[in-house]
Amino acid sequence: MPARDLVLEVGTEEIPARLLGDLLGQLAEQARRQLQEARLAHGDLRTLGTPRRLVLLVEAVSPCQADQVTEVKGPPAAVAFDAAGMPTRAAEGFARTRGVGLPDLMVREGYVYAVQRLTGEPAAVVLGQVLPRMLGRLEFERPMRWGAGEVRFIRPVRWLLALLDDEVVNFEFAGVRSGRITRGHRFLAPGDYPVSRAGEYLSVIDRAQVVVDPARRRQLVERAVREAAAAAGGRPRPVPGLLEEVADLVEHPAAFAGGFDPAYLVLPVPVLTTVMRQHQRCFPVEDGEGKLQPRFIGVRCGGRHRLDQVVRGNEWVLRARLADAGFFYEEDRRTPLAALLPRLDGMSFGEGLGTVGDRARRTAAVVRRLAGDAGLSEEETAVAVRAAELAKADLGTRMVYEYPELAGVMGREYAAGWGEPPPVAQAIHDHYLPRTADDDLPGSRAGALVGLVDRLDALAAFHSAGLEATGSQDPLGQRRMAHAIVRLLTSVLPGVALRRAIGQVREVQGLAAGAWEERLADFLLIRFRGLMLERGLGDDVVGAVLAAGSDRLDVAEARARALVRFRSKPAFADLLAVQVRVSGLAGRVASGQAVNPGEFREAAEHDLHRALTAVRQQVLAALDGGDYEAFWTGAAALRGPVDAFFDAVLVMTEEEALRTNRLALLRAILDLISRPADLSGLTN
Amino acid sequence: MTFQEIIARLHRFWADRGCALVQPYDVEVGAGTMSPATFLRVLGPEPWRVAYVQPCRRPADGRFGENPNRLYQHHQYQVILKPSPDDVQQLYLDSLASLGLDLTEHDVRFVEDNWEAPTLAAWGLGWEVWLDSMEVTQFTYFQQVGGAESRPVPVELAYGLERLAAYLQGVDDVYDLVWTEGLTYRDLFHRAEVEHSTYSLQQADPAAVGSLFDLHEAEAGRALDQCLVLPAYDHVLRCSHNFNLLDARGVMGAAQRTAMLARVQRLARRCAQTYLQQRADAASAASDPSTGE
Repeated sequence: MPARDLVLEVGTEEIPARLLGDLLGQLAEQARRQLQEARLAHGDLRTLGTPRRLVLLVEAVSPCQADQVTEVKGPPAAVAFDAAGMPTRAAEGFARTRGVGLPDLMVREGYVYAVQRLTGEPAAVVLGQVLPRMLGRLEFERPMRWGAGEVRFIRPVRWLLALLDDEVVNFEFAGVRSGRITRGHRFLAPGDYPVSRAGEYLSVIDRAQVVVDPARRRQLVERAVREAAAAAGGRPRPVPGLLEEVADLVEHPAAFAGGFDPAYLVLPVPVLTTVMRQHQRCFPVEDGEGKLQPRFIGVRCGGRHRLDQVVRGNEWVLRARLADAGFFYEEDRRTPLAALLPRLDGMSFGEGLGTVGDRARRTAAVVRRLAGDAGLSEEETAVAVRAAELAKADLGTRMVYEYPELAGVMGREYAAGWGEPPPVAQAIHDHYLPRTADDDLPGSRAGALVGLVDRLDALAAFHSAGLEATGSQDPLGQRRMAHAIVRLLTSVLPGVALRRAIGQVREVQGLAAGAWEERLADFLLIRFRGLMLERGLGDDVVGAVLAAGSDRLDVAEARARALVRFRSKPAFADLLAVQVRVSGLAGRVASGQAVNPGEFREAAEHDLHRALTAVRQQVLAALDGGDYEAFWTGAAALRGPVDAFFDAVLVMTEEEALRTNRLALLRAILDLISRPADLSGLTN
Repeated sequence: MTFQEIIARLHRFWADRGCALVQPYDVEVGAGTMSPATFLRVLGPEPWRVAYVQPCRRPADGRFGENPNRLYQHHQYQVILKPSPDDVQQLYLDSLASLGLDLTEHDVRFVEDNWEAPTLAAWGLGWEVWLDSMEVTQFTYFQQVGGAESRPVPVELAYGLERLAAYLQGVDDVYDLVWTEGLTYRDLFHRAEVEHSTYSLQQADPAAVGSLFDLHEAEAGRALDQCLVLPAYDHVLRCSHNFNLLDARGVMGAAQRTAMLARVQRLARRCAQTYLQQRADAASAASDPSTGE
């Protein structure tokens, strides 16, 4: 029998758009794994899907499971067979216990083996077990139950289609029996569509008005939205993630343009785009200069029949939403700042962690303390302190209450109304940046510093209260905060030292010192190492730099970069040789043990000491100047004198004073070369 | 189609599908879910199909009768089907069609919107249903109610009647809705909106409302001690309403707010547990041969 194609379609009620992609990925992975475990060879495997169906397509599934041959070792051949080559009772007993016949015994290297052959089952039978098992292995963020059943799935399962060419793969899952029926688009092609063979699935589903390939749906939506916008005299304004979401909210897209009263264009652009996106998943339209137009593009799940009515409905809804937003905007702008700030004192930041108002005051105080480190001018410092005081004020506004994602955006908008200078308004906005791992960094140092301290304040509060993120549990978003902090420290805010900043936050919060501080530093350093890896800096190099105790992450990054470059040069081997030779013994005395040249006996000792003195001046100047490669190049020049020293000198002599002096010399070398990075974990 | 005609058609539709039509509950609630016809009846194994209109009070949403969309009190059309039937989505779509909507001429979508009611220790998964992008219904498979796992799983359909009516009548302002020939929403409810908004947002005495909360809480507890679940639950609803009033007055700090929510939730859990225990006891008594003939 030739290989056959498999199609599985799990018909469900609407799957959340944000989860569809992940589910299809899981389905493909589970399918590969389960088919392999079931010893069922196959060709190309892929998954497709819509809000109402998860589809698995596997080409060229082997007609049968592969036979499984296992060999079990038995008694020595000399025991199992007599001189005439006839099986003995030992051979018979062994064959019986292994469930094989005597002909299935085989001799190899003096021993008898039982060869067991498991004949593969037909593919349809195997798949009848594999497919439900596969579905049962999918993992959901929040699985659900329905009806009287106990099965959990992403949404209720309503039909199952499973065909191996023209044969139904029989199984039951979630109380539903598999068959050969799919269902068409709810409104364009309602009802059942039988599929005669797997190879026809895609053409049947196409006829049933369902675009089952997510990538193709995205293309269609993208083009339809662009064309609709062009017809409306503009272009769609890109909104991150919206295209993907819209494409997974429909089985068959049709785009349309609608309009709204131009009077609403007085609302800030982010408000308009948020209102359109949030409630209707609509695209804003802009003109050639990027100016927002009183138009929007929506995407319907269906065709073009009576699209006019859908447009009217969407316009009606948007009108009501914009009226609401306009009301919030007017009300908020009438509210003076003096009335707004006290509201923050009524907002708890968390049990025992103070109010949002407390946090604003703490942040302002720490910003003042760290402004110098960050190299802020007096003017920038004043901006940052003011921005810190006001950074959370917009949480008390109606607009942000309604649209939390506009926090910061509205703060900037309203700050002007509160009479604040533009740099303060910008810093209020910027302190939320970066919001995500790939978001923009703040444009101003004032905003960056407020954002840094704001996050450190939160993390210090959580960590000191024992609320650290663990494993997959991070409800407070602490990892995202940590990631933002290390990005800020290595870009916009060089000069701010990590542990010093934590210490300042601790003092201002009035927290007790404790192990939590070092745990918080570690928590941040883990993100730092991750960030460095993303930037192509190996963990051994970054570890070496961190082990040298740098508290400034910008410096650590610069050193790591230099070390990566230096590592590829010939002098690196010399440096490493120096490190290896001196570190073996240097640990026997403490750092700072004085070297007394009067105690030297051998010329090699004098030579090494002179070389060290000369090199020290040179490399420390390089270190001060941030030229780390020059530092290591200089230090590597110690290799000659170090080798000569070890050739001529016995360090571990019986005379204690002499020995200590020699160890002190080695220690001085080790301490010097380890200043920018602890090289002990590195290899050539 | 008039507001009352919408109600009449939904009544007809759901009655034909085996739902008991019950009357709105007579204690203040914030959502149809809070009526004992939902909160208590969805508990336990007994099948249950019910439909009713529920006026819902949300003091913080009061807008003095000036906002075209927001109301102190709105109306939900609530349907509960336990266990959730396999064709529930189609049933729901048919109910929209019974309102004269040709769904092939619209855009109907089920968009993820999960539901959680901390005061009821309840949550569920489902969607907001869009009709040309307007949310007209909250469609939820309950997973837990009163802290108890829902077995079997009930489905709740909560239609927002004002939204639906505004769409069907094509009006922008809720007060322009025609309730029945010659009678508008304004005629019926505007005065109440103004007065209740004024009271809830400005005039309610926080001290008095706070002590009402305390009194109802204590009385709910006392009734529960006597295993009188339904009277106890009425007091829980009154606690919840007084909590909402305090919230609307903006007089609660965050910590106080959390603490009061937890107090309501504790009582709701006790109601659910006691109710379930009573049903289980009744069931075992019924199947006990010694109590039979």
